Amino acid sequence: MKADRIYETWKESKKDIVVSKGFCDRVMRKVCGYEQSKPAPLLDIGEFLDKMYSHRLTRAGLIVAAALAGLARMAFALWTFLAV
Amino acid sequence: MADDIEIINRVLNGDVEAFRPIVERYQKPVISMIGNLLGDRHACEDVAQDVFFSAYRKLSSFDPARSSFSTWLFTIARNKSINAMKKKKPEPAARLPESESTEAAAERTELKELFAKLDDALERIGGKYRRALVMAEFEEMPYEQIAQIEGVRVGTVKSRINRAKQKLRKALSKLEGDMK
Repeated sequence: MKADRIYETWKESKKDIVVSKGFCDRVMRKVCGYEQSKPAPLLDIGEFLDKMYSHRLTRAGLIVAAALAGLARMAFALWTFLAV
Repeated sequence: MADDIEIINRVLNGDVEAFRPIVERYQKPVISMIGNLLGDRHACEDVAQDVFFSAYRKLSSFDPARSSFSTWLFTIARNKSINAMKKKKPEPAARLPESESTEAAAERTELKELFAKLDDALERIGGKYRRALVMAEFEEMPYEQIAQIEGVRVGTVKSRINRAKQKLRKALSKLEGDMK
């Protein structure tokens, strides 16, 4: 058997892979097990914000607080600029 | 594949089951690559499982601007294979089925012995040359992809493949000499 033919046949034999049945299921079981074992976050930011936005008063309060914080920042920047 | 990116985004948004099509799509090429790098078809599925699990945990670190998902996944497979190689135990020789005719069995034995010698020669080739040859010749990956996985230039990949082929050619010519 010539060397080239041996090499090509050997190369072809390397592509002969059979994935065992259930491989994908085993991977997914491991992934799901990992997700279930992860500790729950102490504070779910998303859930917290949803609750805040669901009440009109808390929504209004947040907007006012944000506006005051913005004004305070502008005043501080202006004061720093004038002090220089 | 743009499809991969879409699936990855779904997984990152909490849809764990969305990872399944990724595993189904890449299980065969990943297992094939690991099996050919390790030279051990039995251990490769354990390593491949580890590859997909690592990929899942590190999915948020995948950057599509740097490489394709397949390149990223094969890089994880390459690294896991290197680690597995360090712990590798010798694989027991496969047995031929007893029900074959004497002539067919003899031919298969001869072929098996030739392949075993080539496998030995491949194993004796240094890690980086063997990896380049396996990825190019057995997994038929483009040179650019191999270069990204190995973290070297395309020219380096080509020279490693040539070097590996030279060593195999030497082993093959010795085999031819033995057969005469």
